Parts: sequence; structure tokens; C-alpha cells
Amino acid sequence: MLRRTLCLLLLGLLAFPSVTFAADPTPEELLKRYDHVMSPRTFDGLMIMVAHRQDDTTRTYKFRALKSQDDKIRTWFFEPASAKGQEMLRVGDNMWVYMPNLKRALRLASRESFQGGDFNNADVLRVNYVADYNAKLIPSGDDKLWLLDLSAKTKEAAYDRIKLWLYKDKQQPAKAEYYAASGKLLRSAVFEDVKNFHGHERPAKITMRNELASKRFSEMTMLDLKLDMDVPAQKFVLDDLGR
Amino acid sequence: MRNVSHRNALKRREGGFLVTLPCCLFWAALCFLLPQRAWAQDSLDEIDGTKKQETGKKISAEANGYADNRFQYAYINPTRTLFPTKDQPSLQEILEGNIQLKVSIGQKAFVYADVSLIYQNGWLYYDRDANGDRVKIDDHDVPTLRPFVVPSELYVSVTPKPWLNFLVGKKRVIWGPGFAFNPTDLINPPKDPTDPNFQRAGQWIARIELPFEKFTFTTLFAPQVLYQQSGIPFAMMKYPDYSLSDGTKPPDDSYHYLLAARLYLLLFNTDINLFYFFSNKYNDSFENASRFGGSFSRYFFTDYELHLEALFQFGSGRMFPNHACANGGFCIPQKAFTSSKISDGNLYPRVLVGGRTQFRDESLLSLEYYYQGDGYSDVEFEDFLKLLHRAQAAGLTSLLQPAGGSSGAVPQRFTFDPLRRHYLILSYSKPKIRDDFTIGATLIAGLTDLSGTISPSVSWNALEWLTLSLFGFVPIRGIPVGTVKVNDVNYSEYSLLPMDFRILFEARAFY
Repeated sequence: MLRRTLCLLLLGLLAFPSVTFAADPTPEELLKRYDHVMSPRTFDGLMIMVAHRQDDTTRTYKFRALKSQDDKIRTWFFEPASAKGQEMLRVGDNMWVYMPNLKRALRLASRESFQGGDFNNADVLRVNYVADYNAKLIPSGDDKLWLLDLSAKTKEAAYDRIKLWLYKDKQQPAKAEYYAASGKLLRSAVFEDVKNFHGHERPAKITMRNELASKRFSEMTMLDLKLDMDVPAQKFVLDDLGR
Repeated sequence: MRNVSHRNALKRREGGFLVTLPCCLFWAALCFLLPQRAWAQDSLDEIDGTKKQETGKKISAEANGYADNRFQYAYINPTRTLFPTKDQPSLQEILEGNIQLKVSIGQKAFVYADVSLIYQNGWLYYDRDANGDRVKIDDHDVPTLRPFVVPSELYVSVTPKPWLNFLVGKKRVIWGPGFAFNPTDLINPPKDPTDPNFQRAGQWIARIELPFEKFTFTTLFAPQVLYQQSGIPFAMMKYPDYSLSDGTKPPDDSYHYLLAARLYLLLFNTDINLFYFFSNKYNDSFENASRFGGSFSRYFFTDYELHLEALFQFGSGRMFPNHACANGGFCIPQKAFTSSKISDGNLYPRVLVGGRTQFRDESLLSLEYYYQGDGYSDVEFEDFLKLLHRAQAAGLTSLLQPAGGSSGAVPQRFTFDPLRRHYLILSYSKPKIRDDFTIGATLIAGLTDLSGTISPSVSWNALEWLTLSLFGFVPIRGIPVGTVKVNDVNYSEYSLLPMDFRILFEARAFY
């Protein structure tokens, strides 16, 4: 009887190895997973950002983002009318914004605010945490979540430190806190509404709260997303902006 | 430095009746195109699907633009300037309807138009009386204040290969990184440093561009527009052999054009441009002249943008005062002010160096220093003032105003056309003073005589589609350092402005 029970137990353990014996992924694996979920190597996405302001009014921006390789991304703004025609381009550590009124592009810093909302430019144009941050896995205090402690390894990284929580089951991001070098909490984000976009699962909505201005927050919603686009390299050239 | 309304009226030659038809076409096109706005789609398939359907027809169109109203009051003070003020209105209204229309023809070509219809009028004029005192004069016709059309851009772009682009038409092409001013921009109408967003007009060009991943090579040919009507040129590059119906004779039989080549490189996270220009009487007196330039722009220490833009030329196309004329010798007006250094062989660099940063509170600071090698020396500036004074006494001031500026452009609040050698341009803006309010100020300081202008502003994005702005414009007459005394009056460069202050209210509605 005992032998039979032990055999069944052994079979059961063999049948569910991941539940019983799987080690936690390394911080680097989790970071790679985050980059893949939030910013696949190549994608074409349509997004809306709603910025909620101090006076309870909102501003809505609709834009298309096209990414190629790990470090090239270009956006086109459709809304509001005052921003229509604006474009942004990131190539490596370089960012530019094309202003239709100026009829030219200007260089941007990665930490500048993205369209005056609560995301900064790097939050949208530079999601490459593997390249930008060192990660440590620390206790999250919640069995369902991993907690990564990220510290910037380049000056171009958007933040000096990030705390990033990921769900263990689907390995999707849950929330994040973004800190200045002084340790001051600048922003916090909540990742919600995981959707399947043409076979790619990711949170469709990110709510970024400005912790320095209590009533301000911005919501970024992914309306559509396609992966594995074939885009000519010239789409990511400064002189192509405005065309 | 020169106020915009001093522009050569001959080149514009618009007539009110000519605006009627374009105006109707504009509003008709607007009504037709508005329902086709691209931002109604909520998925990439819808956007691309729409495109595919339209690709079947080979043609699709998008339109946007704005309606803008500017109303300004300037305290015109003829007693403080040597320039004439009789055509400078104290009250001015400028109403602008703008449409930006992009018609895609298949995947590789498009036609783009950025056209403004401008109605303007002015009232309340002042001049000097016989005693030199400020006196109101009757409202009168001022050619530069008539309604007109500005096709700021109107071109066809064809990209047969990703690495090859052809463009023909009117386009604003700016290569240098200067924020308030671009010394290497020999092509376009100058921008307004107090509002770099304001001037949208370009020039007529034919351009070939070869963009690659790390570099771009561009070459362009720009024939000068010599005569135009309602923003449409009817004489380019060479004056017609005959006189115009108003009696204007062709001033020369030369070809007026500019050729430019530019190499752009993205190296070490730095934008680098190298320029070569060859021109013949294109917006200045240079004949068969070569000019060289370069620029770079890069972020340092994450948040600090630094840029440099430089143009090098042998000789100067500027108009210089004739010393003998200025100091009482016999003088015919045509010889009083000439391009006397055009072929002196000296190198006259024009260099702008500056930086820009955004602080944590999202305020933006930009600081630029501009050196103009062929700016007036103290003696030349004094001669310039003396000539102005002599001309004013003889009623010939208009002959002494520097020629230049460009027609077919939006009427500007302020044009930076520096006379001296050293300038500082400082601008600061802070958004979200109260969510939708942005305050800002631009200081343009002539460092030789410490005169300048300061332009404070407040903008309110009242709605997503509506911006209300209030601009001030105050000349700083300068402290008595580096000023020049002519007829017992101390003058500095910016004390020549014909106003004591100006206030402008602007409402702009986007669609």
C-alpha cells in the first residue's frame, strides 16, 4: 500500500514538474519577458493616451507607433488637431520630434514629458529594460507577484530606479514605481486589461500616475498591435520625418 | 533690424478681388475634406483597410489646419526712430484661414499644400509733424496690409525607392539646428525668433534626397521668385524683358538662383551637417559665389542639448553705408548704401552656438549666442544712423532701408535681421502654470550696445482645439553704453524700432 502511494505521488510529481520543482526565473529572464511583452522587437501599434489634469479635464492623443529592431521607433500623431502631423523618432540614444509648424525636427531628451502627459518620452519610445537596467529579484510580499528592483545602468535610462511587479502566472507586468536618484517617488503605473493582439498578449491599458501632482495621471491604451512587420530602414531616418 | 511691414510692396502685389475665388475654394475644400479625417479609425486594419480601398483608386486625402485671429495694438512713436512710421498701424487685425492638405497618390508619391488666406487691416497711424512731434495722420491704403494668399508649402514628393526622394515645389527646408535663428538658412523667409513656430513659408525648389540609415545626401536648386501675384510666382530666376504694367522695369537680366548640397551624418549620437551653397543674386548681391557651412547638435549629460551652426563666406552681401555720404559729402541716394564689401575677399563667418534644456518642472530654457562677422562696426553703425538722419531730413528714408526679406510669407510679428556683430537670444517657457497655461519670454539682446527686445507671453489651451495667447513686445532702448549720438540723440540698434511697446492677442482654432 505504501509503495503504491509513493509511486502515485512520484507520478504526480513528474506530471506537474513546473508546479513543484520549477525555480523562479532569473531577474534577467523576467526583464527580457517584460521587454518582449511591452515592446516586442518589431511592432506596429495604434494607441491612445488620455492625460487627466489637475483641473479634472482631459486631453486625448491618438498615435501610431512603428518599431524596428530593438532601438528604432517612430510615432505619428493623429489627435488632437493641434498635434496632428507631429512625429517622433528614436534611433538608439537619439530622439527627435518633428513639428509641422516649425517644418523641422528638434532633438528631444528621453526624460522629457511625452506630449505633456505623465509618461516621459522613454516610457513610450525606449522600452528596453534589459539594455537600460540592472535587475534584482526581491521579496514582493505577495505569493502571486514577483518584484524586480531595477537600477539604471545607463544615463539615458528613463529613471534611476524602478520597482516592477509581475504576475507569476502569466508573467505579465502588474504595477511599477519609478524613482529619482534621490529616492523620491516620481510616478507609479498600473498595468491592466491583458488582451490578445493577433497572438501577442499584453496589458492593453497602462495608468501612469504623477506622484508629484496628486490629481494628474495618464492612461495609455493599446487599440491594436501587430508584430513582425517588414519596414524599410529609411522609415527610421531623420530626413524621413514629415514625409 | 527691420519691421516686417517695411517689406517691399512691389513683390507682393495682391489685390482684394483675387482673394474671393481662392477663399471660396478653400472653404469648399474644407467642407469636403473634413469628414475624411484619418483619426476616426480605431484599429490598424481600419487605417490600412481604408488606405487599401483608396489605393484601389490610387488617391487618398487628409486635411487639417487652423483659423487664426491676431489683433494687436502698438504704441507707434515716430519721435524715437529714424524709420518712417506713416504706414505702421497702431491697431492691426490679421485673420488667417489655413489648410494643410495631403493627397497621397499610391504608396510612393504625394502632393502637399499648406495654404493660408490672410485678411488684414490697419488703423490709427502716426507720423512726425514739421516740429518733429508725434501727430496722428489719416487712415490710408497700405499695400502690405491688403488681403493675400500664402502658399507656405505646395509641392510634389515622389519616393521611387526608399533611398531616393524627389521633391518639386514650394517647401520650407531647414537643415541647421539653431532654435531661434539659422545662419545657414539662405533659402527661406526668416523666422520670428520670438515665436519660432510662426513662420511656415518656404521657397520654390527642386530637390533630390538620398536618405540612408546613417547619412543623407541632399541637393537642391532654388530659382528666386522675382514677381508673384497672390502667392503664385509669375517671374522666376530671370526678370522678363518687358516692364510691368505699373511701370516697374526689369532691374537686371541676370539669373537669380541658388544651388545647395548637404551631407547629413548621424555619428556618435550627434547630428552633423555639412553644407555647400552656390548662388547668383539669390536674395542678396552675391554673384557666382560659394559659401560653406556646417552644424552639429547633440545631447550632453542626458538633458543638455548643445548645437552649433556656422556659415562661412568670402565678402559680404550686406548693404554698408558710404562713409563720405554719411559725413556730409556729396552723395546720390543710390550710392549711399551699397554692397561695398561684396568682393573684398575677407572671410565673414556667421556662427550660432546654443543649448537647450528641459527642467524637471517641464520648463524649457534655450540660450543662443550669435556672431555675425559682417555686422556693422561702431563707425559703420554711426554712418548708418547719419545716413538715415540725412535721408529722413530729405524725405528719402525708404531708399535707405535694407532690401531683402521674402514675399509669399506669413506677415510676422518680428523679423530678426541683425545689424551688428554680437547677439544673445534667451527664451524660457513654463507650461502647466495652471494646467493649460504656459508662460514664456524671449529676450533678444544686442551685446554691442546692450539694447534689445523682450517678448513675454501667456498662452492658454482653453480647449483641445483652441489656443488663446497674449504676447507683449517691448524694445529695450539700452543703457548709455555703446550707443551712438546723432544730432544730440543717443541711438542703439533696438532704439530704432518705431514703437514703444506692442500687445498682441491671438486666438487659434485647430481642426
